Amino acid sequence: MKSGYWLVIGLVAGLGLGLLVGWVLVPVQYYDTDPSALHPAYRDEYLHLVARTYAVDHQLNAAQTRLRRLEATTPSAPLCELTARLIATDAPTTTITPLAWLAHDLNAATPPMAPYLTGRQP
Amino acid sequence: MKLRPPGLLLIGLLLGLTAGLFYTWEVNPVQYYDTSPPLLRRPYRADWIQLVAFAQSYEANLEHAKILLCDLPPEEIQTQLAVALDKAINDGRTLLVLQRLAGLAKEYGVDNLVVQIYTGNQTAELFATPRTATTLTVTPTPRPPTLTPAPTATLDPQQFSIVPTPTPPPSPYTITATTRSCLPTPRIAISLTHRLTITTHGKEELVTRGLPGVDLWLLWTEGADHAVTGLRPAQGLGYADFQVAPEQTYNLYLNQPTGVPLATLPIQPCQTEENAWTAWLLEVAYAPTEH
Repeated sequence: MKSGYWLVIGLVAGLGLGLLVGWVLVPVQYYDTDPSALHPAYRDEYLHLVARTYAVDHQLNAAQTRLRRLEATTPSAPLCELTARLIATDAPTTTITPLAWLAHDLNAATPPMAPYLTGRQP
Repeated sequence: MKLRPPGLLLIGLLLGLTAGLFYTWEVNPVQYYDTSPPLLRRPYRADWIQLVAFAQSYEANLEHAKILLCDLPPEEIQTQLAVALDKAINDGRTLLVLQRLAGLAKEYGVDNLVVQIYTGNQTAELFATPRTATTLTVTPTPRPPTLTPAPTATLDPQQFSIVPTPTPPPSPYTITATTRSCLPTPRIAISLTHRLTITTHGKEELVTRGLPGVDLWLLWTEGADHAVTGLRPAQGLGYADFQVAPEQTYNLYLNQPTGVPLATLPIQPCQTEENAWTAWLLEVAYAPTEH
């Protein structure tokens, strides 16, 4: 066998080993992620938390800043999407109300949210 | 120099490994799209904890809050819950919100005075503050003497009684020092202390300590404000302050906003500095009157 083949075999084997180590055995560890990288279930929780916090502190700018961290097309998009999903699944009113009010105050309320916007939230 | 096959294989392996690691770690690393709160950057983790706290204060659900805080560093949770509670107090949130925040903080081992007050553990000390005992005996109003048609009016001594003028008990609070300074934002601060006898190694010693949990009231012509001493332990257990408005005169009361004010404090522009207003610091000593 020609000596060049040994070099190619070594390269291919080394590359394979490198990919195995880099992607599987010792992958890059991300400890410093941002809310946009959260698992969808945690993203939903994040939206609930932002809306409920807004119901307590009424600080719209802070809520907007937090929603922007999800890096959606518009800050209110994930909020409206979650609210619509919860309305469609007949989730409890107490769960939907803070989300609907935040969407409303961000001028992003949709007609299905109207029933949840009767009377100001506590 | 001509390399033998094992040498070429080794060189190939090293080059391939280097290329593979460069590609997987730098060019195309593993992407994590489904992370969890513990992997968030530190400021986002702090925000997450505070969000959980405020959400919990909106709708109390301790078990759910625990799930959301699971795997986060306990010391970070404690710090952020204390910060959230402090922020809520400064922002004037409702008692219910403060109680729920304090309840969550307590659940995670935060044990400062604020938490104790809002979780009810400090009740005894709060109301241990003496309230003026004003038990006055009301005597019947003297009736006019009965006049008889007899030429001389007779006076029935039983129908008269001498009404002692009720003297209010002396206030247990005394202003020991008043410091007037100039600040861009006018302020009235109170430092309340009391003297305690403590026994150390069999020796009695008299010490001065801040007195927390005492209600302070500030009344002015258009309104009133309320504070409790000790909510800023860093400033002292007996400390409390009020943000006040310029060109206004305030009456300060302790315990109850009735009776004679402890002090009347005007907020005026400072003569010595521009854009500065009076800031008052009152040092008040509590000494209960013994009966």
